[in-house]
Amino acid sequence: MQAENIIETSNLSRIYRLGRVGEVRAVDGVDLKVPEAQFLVIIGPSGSGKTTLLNLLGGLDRPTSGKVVLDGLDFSEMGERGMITIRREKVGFVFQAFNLIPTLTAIENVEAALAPIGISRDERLKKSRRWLEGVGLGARTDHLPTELSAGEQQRVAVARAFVNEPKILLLDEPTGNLDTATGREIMEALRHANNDRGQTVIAVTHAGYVRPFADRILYMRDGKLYERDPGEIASEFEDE
Amino acid sequence: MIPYMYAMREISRRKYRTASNVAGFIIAVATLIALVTAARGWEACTAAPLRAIGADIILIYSAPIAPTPGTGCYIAMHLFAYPFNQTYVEEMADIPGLTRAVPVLMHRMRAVVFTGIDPSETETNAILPSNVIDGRYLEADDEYVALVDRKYAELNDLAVGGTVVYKRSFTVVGIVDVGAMNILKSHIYVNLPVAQEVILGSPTGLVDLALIRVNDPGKVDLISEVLTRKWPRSTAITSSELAATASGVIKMGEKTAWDISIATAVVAILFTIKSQLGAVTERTREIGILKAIGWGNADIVNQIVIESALQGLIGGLLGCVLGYGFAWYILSTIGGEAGGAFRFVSVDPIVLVIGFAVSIASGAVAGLYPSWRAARLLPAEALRAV
Repeated sequence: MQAENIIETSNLSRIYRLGRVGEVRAVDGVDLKVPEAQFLVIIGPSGSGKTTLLNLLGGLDRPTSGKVVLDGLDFSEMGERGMITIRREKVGFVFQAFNLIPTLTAIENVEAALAPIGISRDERLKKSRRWLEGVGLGARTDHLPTELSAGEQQRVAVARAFVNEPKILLLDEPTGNLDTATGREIMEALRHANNDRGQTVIAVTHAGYVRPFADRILYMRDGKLYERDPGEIASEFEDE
Repeated sequence: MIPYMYAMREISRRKYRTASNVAGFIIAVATLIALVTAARGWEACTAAPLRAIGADIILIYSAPIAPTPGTGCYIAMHLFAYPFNQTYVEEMADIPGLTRAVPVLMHRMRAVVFTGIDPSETETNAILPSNVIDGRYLEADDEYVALVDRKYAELNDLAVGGTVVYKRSFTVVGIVDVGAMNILKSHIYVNLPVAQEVILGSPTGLVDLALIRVNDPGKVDLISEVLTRKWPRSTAITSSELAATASGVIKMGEKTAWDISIATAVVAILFTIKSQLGAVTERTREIGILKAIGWGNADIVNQIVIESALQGLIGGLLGCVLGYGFAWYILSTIGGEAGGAFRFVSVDPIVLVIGFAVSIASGAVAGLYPSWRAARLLPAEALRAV
């Protein structure tokens, strides 16, 4: 039996109008269907529109045209409040630049994702600690981001993305700032989560070594998405 | 409550930015507290000499009062007063709004001040029954008896029952201590007719001071004007006139102090809003992160407003301490022989509450606009911020 699609887009476009340059079609008529629990990797060069696509899928940005339906919720019919709920409950993000709050400790960064849900501080801390232990940072919970290595910071970001137990994890170059060994460790952790919890994972990357973790690979170039390599993308991203 | 916790972290871990914002609030609150408290302290200080004798106005026939510069609230008043007819004092009692007019005659000879009083006036007078520390107060039918100032008595080995000489001998019936604030502090006090006889040669009915009490302190200036119009050669000395003898910032009245404080507070708050706007702009990316992990616009606004209000609270606290310190310093530089007017610094809970309220509210206001502006951004836009 075919799994239901957790996310679907139709003719999704995001166009930036940039004064004299004219317009940039960062995402150009993308039709995408992602079944539940799939580990999807999108490969493409810098500037191909991967991050913009991920932002549109996660409700961080609004499309110029087209539709995104996530877990049966059509973004085009939702107001700001609805989008906040989606970001809060349905989606977890991991960014290339870790994007941790520099003034908060590791556990406070993870806890921040639970803050708007309305659970007690004790419960927030318990869950946050459990997730940090899960990514091997049980002993570093009270450290500030500047006191953690790049790999540790990304693990904190992973724990923060998981702590709400979202249905979809959106990973924007999750290994981009990590060495290959650490990047692989992070990908393995994400793959385990995908296997164990059935969470859908969509990762955009240009790191070739990510491909073996994927159930499915798509290619992106000039804002368009391809089921098959339109040529030279894969070869540009052999294992580094 | 995570916005509160996050705000505390931002305040404690971004020390320079916090210090810059808090400085604005400190300036606003310290200015308000310092100016208002100093102005009030000075007013209280200058009112004290008149309050010590239970009067609102002293009327003399002379050139205007010329206090020794720098003596501050202790007005070492050398009253080069011309004697005037005691019947004027009786006429003053008929002026509406005037509750008491008390005649006094003062005389100085070889650094000894000799004063004649009407002992039936026990609320407004150069010396009051409450000043007697040994013996008794004067009585209406007393003749050649005197009250002697404590220090003068000590210096001259005088005690109750002893004899003091001023042109003639007087039996000491009481020792008095009037304190430094009494503007009419003398060495020897006797009954007014006796003083008139001793000083002027016979009970001529001349006096050189009228101590005046009014029923509404707000009408002191008005009644002073009525008195000086009726007796054109007279000078009415009031506490506001004494206050005007000061120089510099202390000379301002409470209203001026409030006006300057409000203007300073507005400037300080605008500075803080600008600073906060810059701080929030710097944190646009962080705001994008928070929005990406599910924080709503209200959560973002709450966090920044709480942070800014807390900075206001810290600024308010430090501003109050600093403001009272400044007020104390300003008043301690004046006050001369009385040992400094700083004793008149009083902590007014209303001024404190206003200082705090202004500081916290302006903190919240300073955070409101930048946070609202930041919260409106799409998370993707905010995350793109460098």
